[in-house]
Amino acid sequence: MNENQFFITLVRHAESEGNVRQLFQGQDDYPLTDRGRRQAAALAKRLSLEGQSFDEVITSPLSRARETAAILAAALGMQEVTDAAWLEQDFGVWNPRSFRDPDFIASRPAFFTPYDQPGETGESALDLYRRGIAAVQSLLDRRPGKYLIVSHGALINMVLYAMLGIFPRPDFEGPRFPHANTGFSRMAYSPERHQWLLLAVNDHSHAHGI
Amino acid sequence: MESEAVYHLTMLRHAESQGNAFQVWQGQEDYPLTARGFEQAQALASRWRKEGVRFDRLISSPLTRAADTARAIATVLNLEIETHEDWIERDNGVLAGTHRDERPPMPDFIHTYMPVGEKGESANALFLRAGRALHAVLDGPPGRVLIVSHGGILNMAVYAVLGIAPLAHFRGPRFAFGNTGFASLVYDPLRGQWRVIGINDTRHLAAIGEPPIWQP
Repeated sequence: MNENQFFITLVRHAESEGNVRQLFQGQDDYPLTDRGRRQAAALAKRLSLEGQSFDEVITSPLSRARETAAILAAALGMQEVTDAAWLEQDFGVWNPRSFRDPDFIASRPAFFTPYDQPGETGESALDLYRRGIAAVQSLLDRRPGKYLIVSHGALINMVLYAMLGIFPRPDFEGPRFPHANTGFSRMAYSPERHQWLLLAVNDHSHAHGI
Repeated sequence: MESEAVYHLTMLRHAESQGNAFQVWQGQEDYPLTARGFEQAQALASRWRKEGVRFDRLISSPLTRAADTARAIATVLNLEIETHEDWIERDNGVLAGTHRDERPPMPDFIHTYMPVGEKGESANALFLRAGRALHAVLDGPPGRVLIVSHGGILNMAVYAVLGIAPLAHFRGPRFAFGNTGFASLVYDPLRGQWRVIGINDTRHLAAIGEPPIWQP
């Protein structure tokens, strides 16, 4: 790693109460489950065993992310920093419905443009994409170094779009990067070549069997 | 909801070759695997057997480093190898098999239509070939397909999957493929949607004492 490089590890939060209930959590706040805490501890142990170090641990302010980040930061002997740039997508009135709810599925519009707001007042694909770009920019405005970020599935997808140069498509048809709880993606940015090197997507081998 | 008829593509980069060990830009020059390369391929084959991974098809580049990697896996998982020219590595012209220290100076700017190494494939030529290779797989039946190929062409195959176009002068995103690192991609034709399940999975290498590569 050279001194101009940014080295980014994006972690999706551990299992939350909302995950277990299969809800659209969006910006609603849910704590981790006990299983979630074990997943975070397993990742924390892995980071230590592999000798991974970071200059900063940054987290979304929502409890499920903050609790995950606190467990990781404690193992690294660090203190996490909260930043609203890493918040999950606002799903409007879909919160806190279940995405398995048959009434919800029946009432969902048949086709979404990237400009349409989910749940009437939520963030459109382009709103979220714009936040993804801003989140990337907020990292590159820092000094080069190693950053560990705990965030959420939908935003992490748009951050990956922003890094790779992918544009949102209608009806959520674009590529998806599914992240398991505590699954992480990792990338390095070399400014002199404007090159993002994608090193891992959804690595969650530490969480197998939990 | 995922339909039954999906394509699970595993894009695997060959194990360590002698060209890798000499740190040359191999291109279409042919190099055998090193002893360590054979161990890596064996470690992956054992991992997949333990995990109960199965494939319906195994497609390999014709170059020895890919074919030998494919054979190690085919033997353990009991598969037939189909060889396809379109999965061969980039033609890098006069740079084939050269070490960084012995290469002629590069042009100041290599645009996306310019052949590399005077007569090799341009970035766009490689991108188009990767798209054609991918298309041929999707012309076949849905199922689990293992592709054993090379870092350069596999990067362009991932571009084709994600809808990224090549940039000039080796800029633009890169997808890491360590030796025997693989990408897992799922295509659902009913939604026209790709899912990226993993990139550069090399977890099996821990079994032969190679430390996890967690930063470049």
